[in-house]
Order: sequence, then structure tokens, then C-alpha cells
Amino acid sequence: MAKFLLFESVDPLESRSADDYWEMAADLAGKGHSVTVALVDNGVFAARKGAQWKALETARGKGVELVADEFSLAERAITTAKLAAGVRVIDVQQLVAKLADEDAPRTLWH
Amino acid sequence: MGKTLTFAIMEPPYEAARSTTAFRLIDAALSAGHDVNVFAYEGAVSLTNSKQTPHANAIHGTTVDTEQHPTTKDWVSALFKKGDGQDGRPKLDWVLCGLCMDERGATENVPGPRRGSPADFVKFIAASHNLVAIGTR
Repeated sequence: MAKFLLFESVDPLESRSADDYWEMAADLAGKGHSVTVALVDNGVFAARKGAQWKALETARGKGVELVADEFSLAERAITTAKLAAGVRVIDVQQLVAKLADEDAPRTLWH
Repeated sequence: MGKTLTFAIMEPPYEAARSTTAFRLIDAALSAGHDVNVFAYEGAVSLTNSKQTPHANAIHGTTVDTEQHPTTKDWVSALFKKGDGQDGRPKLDWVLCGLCMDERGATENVPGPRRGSPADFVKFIAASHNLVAIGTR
């Protein structure tokens, strides 16, 4: 099984292509791959509790690891209290550590 | 032991938040001791334009000095200080796509980046532990 690190920088309300990207993440996890979705820039809007972004909930249910960049969250005044369940705040050093992991994940940026 | 990470970027300066995020990732990678390769193509060849000039802000009532408007060329220069490959520091290799430079007239750059081609990107891929290709909208 493969390991994936999928950067999501797009607000799901901004582009329909987000639907496909999140579906891909869930599908990969459903097939047994290790998948992390790293929310950065406007992608963190999907992580708001109030967004009720079903695709995020589906991905989480399939075992996708959900992390959100703390800098992007702070820029958009999204506090941890406002985050959907299962979303972990991560800093940029931890993102780089994921890239540099011995078992290097395949990466994509949307 | 540090790895070698490659980033491909294409956004022109000041147009998208992903450029700032790319800079943050590159900076963090260098801070962690990783060698970093950057392939800058399309609009990203202008990130290192030596002609960039900060400006004052009449709305804020600031001067050039007090506004402290950042320029991407200065950010890249700072990354090169961190990644000069000297005294145990990691190495930053920043390649500008030559064709993209020519068609944009973006041929005057700060010290550090070098002119190259997609062939350099292929070499980066082969030599890297991992790669992030950051596209544009």
C-alpha cells in the first residue's frame, strides 16, 4: 500500500474541483492506502465546524488523516474551537517532517 | 541526516497565498537541515526580479521605510543566506526556467538563482527524496 500527502489549498466553496480532490482522498484511503490531507491557505475553510463539509466527514470516516496549517488558520481567524472533529492543527515544520519521512509519501497539491 | 526536497513553483509575485506557503515550506525545510531544490517556472521566474522596489503607502500614511513592504526578491535572498551550503548549512539550488524568463523579459535577478530548463527539473526529481509541485489556478 502507498502513502499519500495531499495538500489542499482551495476553499471547497471556491471551486468544484475540490469535490473531486476530496473524493480521490477518500477513495485512496478506502482502498487501504495511507492518506493525509494537509489543509493550507483557503483549504482550511473546509475544516470549520460550521462548514459541514460532507466530503471532509466522508474522508475522515475512511481513515484519512486531516491536518490544518496553524498559520493559515490564524490568518483566517479560525481557532481550534471552531474546527471540525478529527482535524489536527499542524505547524510548517511538521509538514516538512512528513515530506522528509523515510517512507516518503507521494504528494499532490490542489 | 538531511534529505533533499524539491519544490516546483509557478505563481508570479504577490498573486496567490500559495507563494507565501511555498516560501514557508522552503524556509522550514532549510531550517531542518534539508537541501532544497526549487524549480521556478512560468510567473515564478519573477519572484527573484532584482528590479522589485518597495513603496510607501499614502493610505496608511507611511514612508517606504516605515511601510516595510516586503519584496519576494528579498525573501529569496534571505533563503539563500540560510541555504548557502557553507559551514554545515544546507544548500539551496534555485533554477529559473530560461524559456519562461525570456518570454517574460524577466532576466535580471538577485544573486543566487541560476538559469536552467525543464531538464534541470528532471535532474532534481531524480536526486530528491521528495517533491512538491505547486500549481496555479
